[in-house]
Amino acid sequence: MTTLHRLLLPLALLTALPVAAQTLTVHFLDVGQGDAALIRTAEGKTVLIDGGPPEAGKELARRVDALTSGPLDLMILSHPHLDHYGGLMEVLERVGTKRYLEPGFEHNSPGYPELLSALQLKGVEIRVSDRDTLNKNEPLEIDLGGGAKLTVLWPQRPLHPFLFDTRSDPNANSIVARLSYGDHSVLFTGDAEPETEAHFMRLGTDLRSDVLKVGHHGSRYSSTTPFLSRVRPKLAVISCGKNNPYRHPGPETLDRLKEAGAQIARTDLEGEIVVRLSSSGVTVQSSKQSQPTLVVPPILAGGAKPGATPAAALRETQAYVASKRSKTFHSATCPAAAYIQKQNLVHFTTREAAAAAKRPAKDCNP
Amino acid sequence: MSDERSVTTREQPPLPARATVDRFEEDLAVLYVEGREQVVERCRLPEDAREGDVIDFVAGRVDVEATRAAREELAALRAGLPIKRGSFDL
Repeated sequence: MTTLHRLLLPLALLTALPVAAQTLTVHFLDVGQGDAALIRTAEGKTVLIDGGPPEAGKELARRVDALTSGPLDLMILSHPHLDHYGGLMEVLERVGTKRYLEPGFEHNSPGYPELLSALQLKGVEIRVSDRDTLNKNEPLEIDLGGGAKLTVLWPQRPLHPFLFDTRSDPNANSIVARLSYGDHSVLFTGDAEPETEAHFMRLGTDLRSDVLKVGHHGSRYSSTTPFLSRVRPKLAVISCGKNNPYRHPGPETLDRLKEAGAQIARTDLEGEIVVRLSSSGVTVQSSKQSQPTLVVPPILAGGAKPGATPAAALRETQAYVASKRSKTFHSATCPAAAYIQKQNLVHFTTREAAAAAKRPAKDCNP
Repeated sequence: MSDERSVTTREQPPLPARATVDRFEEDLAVLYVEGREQVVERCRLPEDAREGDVIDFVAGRVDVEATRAAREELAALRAGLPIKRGSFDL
C-alpha cells in the first residue's frame, strides 16, 4: 500500500459509513397516570424528567435501560408528588444517574425522603434549580452538549420566591424547563398550576415552543388560554393514564389546546410518544404508528417572513425536497422528508424544477 | 393548629389507620400507603387536611405532631445534603 493509499483509506472508510442524523429524541414514556420523559441527544447524553407512579417503576426502569447505555447524565424531579417520583427509585437501582435536579420545594410524601437518601448513598450529585447566587439575573441553564440546552424557567430562586397559597403548592413550584435544539424547542411544565402560568405572564417569560408537555396531565385548571397564546405549541403531549379517576385530560383543556392550533398526542390513547427534533423539523410518532408525522417543518435558512408560519413559509419558497442520493422528490411536508440528512437535502421552489431533476416519490405523490 | 379536626365518615373503600396525603386531585385525595397510591374521596378526610398532612383515620383527625415531625425530618435530611446550585454542563 502506498503512502497515499494509507492516507486516503481512513477517509474512504469515513465516507462509506452512514452519517448519524443529528437528531435529539424525546420519549414520552407510557407510565399510566403520571409523567416520565427521556431526552436523548445526538451525542448520547440522557436526561430523565420524572419517573411516573410506583406501579410503573419496574417497566419504566426496563424501558430507560433499553434506551440508554450506562447511567443517566441527569435525573430531574419536577416536584415531589408520587405520580412523578414513584418510579425513580427503580430507575436509580437499575440504570443509575450521575446527577439529580429538583426544585427544592419541601413536601412531606414519605417516599421522597427515601429517594433523597438513596441518591446520597449512591454518591449522586444533588442539585436544586436555584439560580447561581452570584449571577442571579441569568436563568439556570443546563448545557446538554451539541447545541442542546435546558433552560429552567421556574422556580427562579433567589430572584423570585416560591409560589404559596395556590391550588397545590408542590404543583405550582414544579420545575418548568425549555429544551432547545437548533431552531426547535420543547416545553416541560411538570404539574404547573394556573398561578405558575400567570406568574410567567407577569414576568414576560419567553415561552414559545414547538412542543408542549401539557401541564398536570391535561387538568382542566392548567393550560390557560393566555399561557397557550404565549407558548403557541404545534404539538401538545398529554401524559396520563387510561380511564384515570381524575378525569384527566379535561375536555375544556383539550378544547383550549385545539383552539391554540396544537395537534394533540396522548399516552393513554397512543402509548409511548416519540418526538424528534432536527434540522429537518419536528416529528412525532406513537407506539401505534409505523411512520412519524411531521409537525414542524424545517425553518428556512435566512429566516421566514415575520408572522409567517414555518409551514406557510415552506410552501412559499421550498415546496419540494429531495435527497442528493435519491432519484425521487417529496413534498416538503411529507414525513419522509424529515429523514433526509441535512448534507444531502436539496430544495426546489417549483414542482417543475423538482420534476426536471427527479421523479415524484410514491409515498406522498407530490 | 387545632388537633380537634373532624372527619366525615363514609363507608368503603377501607381506609388505612394512618396515611400521608400525597396530593389532592379534584374531589379525590391520593394517600401514600406502604409505598403505593390509595385514592379516596376527599370528603373522607378531615376538612382542614392539606397536602403533606399525616391523617389518623382512627381518630378522624390530622395528626399534627406526626406531620410536624415528618416535615422536620425532611428539612433536616435536606439540610444535610451537599446540594449544588446554578448552571452546569452535562
